[in-house]
Amino acid sequence: MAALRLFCFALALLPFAVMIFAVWLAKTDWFLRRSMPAYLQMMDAEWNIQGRSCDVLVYGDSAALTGLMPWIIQQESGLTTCSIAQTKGTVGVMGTQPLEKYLQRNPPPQVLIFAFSPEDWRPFHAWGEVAYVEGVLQTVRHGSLRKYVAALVTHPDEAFGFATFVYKSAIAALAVNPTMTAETLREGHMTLPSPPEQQCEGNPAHPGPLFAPDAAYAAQLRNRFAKNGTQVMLLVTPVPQCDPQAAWYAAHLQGVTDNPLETWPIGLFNDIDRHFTVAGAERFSREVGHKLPSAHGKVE
Amino acid sequence: MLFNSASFMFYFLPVALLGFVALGRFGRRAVIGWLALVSVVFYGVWKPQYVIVLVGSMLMNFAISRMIAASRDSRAGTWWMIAGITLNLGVLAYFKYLFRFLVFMNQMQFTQREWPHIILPLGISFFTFTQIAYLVDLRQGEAEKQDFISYALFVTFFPHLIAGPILHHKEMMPQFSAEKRYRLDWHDFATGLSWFVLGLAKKVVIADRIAPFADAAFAAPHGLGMWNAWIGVLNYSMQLYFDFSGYSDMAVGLARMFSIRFPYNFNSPYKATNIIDFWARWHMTLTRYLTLYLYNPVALAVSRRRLARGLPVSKKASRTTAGFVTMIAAPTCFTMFLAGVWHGAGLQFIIFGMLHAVYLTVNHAWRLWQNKPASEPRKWWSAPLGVALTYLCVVVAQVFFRADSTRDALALLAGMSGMHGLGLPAGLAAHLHVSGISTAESAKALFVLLLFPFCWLLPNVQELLGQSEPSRFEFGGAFSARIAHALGWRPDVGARLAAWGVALAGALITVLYYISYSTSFLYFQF
Repeated sequence: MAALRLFCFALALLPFAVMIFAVWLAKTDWFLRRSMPAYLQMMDAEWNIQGRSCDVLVYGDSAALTGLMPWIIQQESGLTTCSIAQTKGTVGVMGTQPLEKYLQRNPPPQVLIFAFSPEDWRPFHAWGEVAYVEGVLQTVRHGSLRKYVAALVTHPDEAFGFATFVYKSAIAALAVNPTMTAETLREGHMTLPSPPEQQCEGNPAHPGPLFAPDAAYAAQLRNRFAKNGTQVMLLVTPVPQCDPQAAWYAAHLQGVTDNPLETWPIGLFNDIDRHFTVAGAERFSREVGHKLPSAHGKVE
Repeated sequence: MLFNSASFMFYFLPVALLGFVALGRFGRRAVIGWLALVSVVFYGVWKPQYVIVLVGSMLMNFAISRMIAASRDSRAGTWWMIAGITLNLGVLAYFKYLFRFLVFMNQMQFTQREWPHIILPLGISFFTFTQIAYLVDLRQGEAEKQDFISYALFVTFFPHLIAGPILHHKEMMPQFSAEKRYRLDWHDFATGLSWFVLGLAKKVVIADRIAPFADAAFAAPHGLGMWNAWIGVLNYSMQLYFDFSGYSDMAVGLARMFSIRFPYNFNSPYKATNIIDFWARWHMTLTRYLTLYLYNPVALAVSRRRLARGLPVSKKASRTTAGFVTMIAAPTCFTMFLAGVWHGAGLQFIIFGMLHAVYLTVNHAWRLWQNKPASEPRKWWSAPLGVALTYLCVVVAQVFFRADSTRDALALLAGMSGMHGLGLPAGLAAHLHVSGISTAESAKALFVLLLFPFCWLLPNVQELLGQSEPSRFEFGGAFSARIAHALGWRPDVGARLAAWGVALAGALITVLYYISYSTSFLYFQF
């Protein structure tokens, strides 16, 4: 009977052990370096920035990550610029935690830019909408244990999916090099290496769901971070002209963001109609640089 | 809630088991009440509003059962039974068929109104049929009046709630009796856990892995070459088997963890040497239900009618053309027509049912007119030929079962018969590429071929677990029996238990590696 009980306990507890081991594995540097693409390594490094004085700080989703080049903004404005933009997955899971951590360890910027795609001007609730593994990875590596346990309790399927993701990534890394090592990295910032898009990815006849911008959420971002002399800019990133939802978002973002939603030629985007090519990123960065105050002036 | 979801494995099941263990000391009512409560929660996690449908159905049927029991010897009991059946079928028709029919009327331009999309409550067919059977048997004196808490658990017990097996009150109610000890039995728990893991592995490691190749064929069936069509259909055939039998294994295993025994739902159906044998092995509880509550009453009515007209009802009489048509073919066609309708709204499901009706009728005719005693030795090739022929017939019907429309099914059958060319292996990668499957991945579509020896020669899960014996007379039976004897579940033998532990841990780790919480079970739509 003792052997049978041991059999039962071992088998029943195995899934829990698998989960715990996945978390341990994800926290190792080996996992990050060998198994994760370059942009996640870069985002991970941002948690360790300390004592850096940036006049302009960029925070946002992957549209900001691929579309805002700090050195171009710096060229245009004369203000030292840093970006700690994340991906939608991280913002969805962690909200503004990466930003808060940065502000704890570094002097406050003069200007804090929040740059998001039109559909991301709202707090996230459904992890199913995003590549949540990116956010859970950051939570495991840099968030508190309490937050991870909370994530586990509130999103068990995703926490389980994350464990699967860790094992798959680790095993893939044993066999081949990380899949995205060829990604163009420019001082830690990137655009994806794919060629410009020729047409919008979405089906115009069946566009995806619309996510209404949340004005209260945007106002809360401004109120919460506009302190210690920091000026907050809320910028919506441009979308392709062929985006069938652009007009709807343009109308609903009025009064929510500090800039109107612009529509650009599709050739300035290279992925999911939101990520920018190098040319697109340069154009957007220059525009943003122009909007910034020259040293102590006001935002245009 | 899915059995293969983290919510189920990490929260629901441990909590349900802990409650079962903790409440065991308080006796039957506490344990049964607990299991019924968690079962309703299990159902409500999917769509809380549909708990009303489940609980409403349960309350309605319980009330009617009381009325039937109270008027057992009068005609009122019959009327209550008819009312119960009508109400049950009405609810089923409302959710399952009405809006589909109205949308069809729109498409035919008979109506212009936009009808809402009604989501089918999970498992509605299963819990409805279970309760209809109880009402009928209660009226016929075949069932006993139950207390509410036992009845509630009989209807809602979570392992069977969503996709069966279809339980019969006679096998369940005695298990809720006062004499039973409601505590964790380690033998049952170990057996159930092993059963669950093996079912989970069938679903996650096999069915889900081959599903994309089946989906690719059925998503674009028009113009498919023979090779691609067959690869797609064979993959679907195996996906359906491993998905549904995996689910059934999980259900049986979960129930066993609580020391409740469910009937088996699968018994190596692809080993069947004829179509009658197939239905005795495939979705066995549905077959039993259809036989008891559709086929038998119709056959009985036909026999009575013949007797009333002075016609014979013997086996000899069924060998005459008129006797065969009325006593065998007609009840079979009626039963399988309704079986097709039960599986879904759409012409393709009716064709699925009627194809099986034809198969069964031909099989019965063959048996009757061949007139060979069962003891007579068979040719060595008769069993393999029977298995192959039966499988071919089943696969053809499965094309209608899976296709989105009759037109798609016919297109795929045309492809299978070579009417769109051979589409040799080079074409497979190109075809799958359309569905987003890479050339490297496309070779895995052939993995399905390895599953045939697995299905034909190896013992099934209940045989491996020592719950039933492989028949030495069935196809591959002797080999199955040897494997089951050599490798089967023996918790009393330390080395064997350790080997099973290692093997199941390996299976579970493989499951966890492949598991995806987004995959549901094929039979959830019923």
